[in-house]
Amino acid sequence: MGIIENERAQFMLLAGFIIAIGLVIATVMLNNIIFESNMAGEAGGDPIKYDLVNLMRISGDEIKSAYRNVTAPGQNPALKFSNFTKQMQNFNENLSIIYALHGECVNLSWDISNWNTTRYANFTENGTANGARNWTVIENVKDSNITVNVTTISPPFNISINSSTKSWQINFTAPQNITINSAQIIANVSVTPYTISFINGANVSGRFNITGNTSNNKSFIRARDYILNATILFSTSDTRANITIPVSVPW
Amino acid sequence: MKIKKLLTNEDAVSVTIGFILMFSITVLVFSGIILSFYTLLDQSRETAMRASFDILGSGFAARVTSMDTLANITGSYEGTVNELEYDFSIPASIAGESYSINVTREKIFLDAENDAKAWIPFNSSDIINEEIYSNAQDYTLWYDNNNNTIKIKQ
Repeated sequence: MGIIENERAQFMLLAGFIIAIGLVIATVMLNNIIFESNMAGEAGGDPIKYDLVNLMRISGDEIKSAYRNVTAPGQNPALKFSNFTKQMQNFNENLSIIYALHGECVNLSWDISNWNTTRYANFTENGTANGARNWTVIENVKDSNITVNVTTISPPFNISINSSTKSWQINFTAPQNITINSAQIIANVSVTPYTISFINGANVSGRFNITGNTSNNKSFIRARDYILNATILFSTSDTRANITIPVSVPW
Repeated sequence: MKIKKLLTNEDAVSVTIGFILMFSITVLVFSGIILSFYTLLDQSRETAMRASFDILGSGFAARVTSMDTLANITGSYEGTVNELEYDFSIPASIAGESYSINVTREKIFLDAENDAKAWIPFNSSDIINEEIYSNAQDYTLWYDNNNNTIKIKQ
């Protein structure tokens, strides 16, 4: 009771302190509330470019794999198209299921008209007529066998094999089917390793197959018969993509 | 004694004057507090807008860059982008202010009516030159394969 009757301003001092501390707390909280309420929210998730790039890569790899499987020695040539379609349909179904689990809708379609009509690829870097004309097929080769089947040609076109000391140009002027073995190459370029390049590849179409080993004893295969087209349809709640890519087969 | 007498002397004390003085001081103090809150609010709003613009602009730059990268990767395969579209939404207002987003090949420029601005530098290999406003919130970013251009539509 004493403190209530006391007139020495203890209550006023106490109230003053409480109000002052309350003001400081209210100011700090209000400042944070104002700042947060003014923020625009989230910036948007990371787009799906990696998913799409991954799809392009695995679709291309699967088409190559399916082509190699159905054209491998011992396979029935009469069933090559149906077997190819079976493998690709199976791949497409699995792909759709896997991506659906991530909330993404994927559908893959393929165009084998070049293969069906025996329209061979150009000897450019990507096999299409407007691809890079002059390109290096492989470097640091220790030994290799080259098989080239030129079906259409508008000269000049040549295969250039270059070592550190010599250069060998194999010129093509007419459709032909040739095989160059490792011994022939060594005889013309003297030393290993060497580089194999195609010059003016857009002027010619056909098939090639280069197998061998690199200078660090790794085997390699560079081969192309046809260019097949793969079309990827991709959609999520906020993204739609329809991309067609050419795929070189068998490698 | 004279000093003690002065302290207890109430000859010139007026309750009216005392009330007016106390009232005036109270009004002044409250006015000061309210004004300081308004200043604080304005500062907070600008800071929040700049921070929001940075976040919004970076997200937008990521989408444009993603589209640009995809178009370039498809081009490196000699492929064709038949369709590539991203739907996105922007807030109608940030801190109560509407704003515009100007996108060019080199930067994204966000500008509000209260002069809050932000630049987000980035680099697109495809042509893009678009300006959008926050009033229409939903937009679509799409790739025009014929002209190698990135465009925005509502």
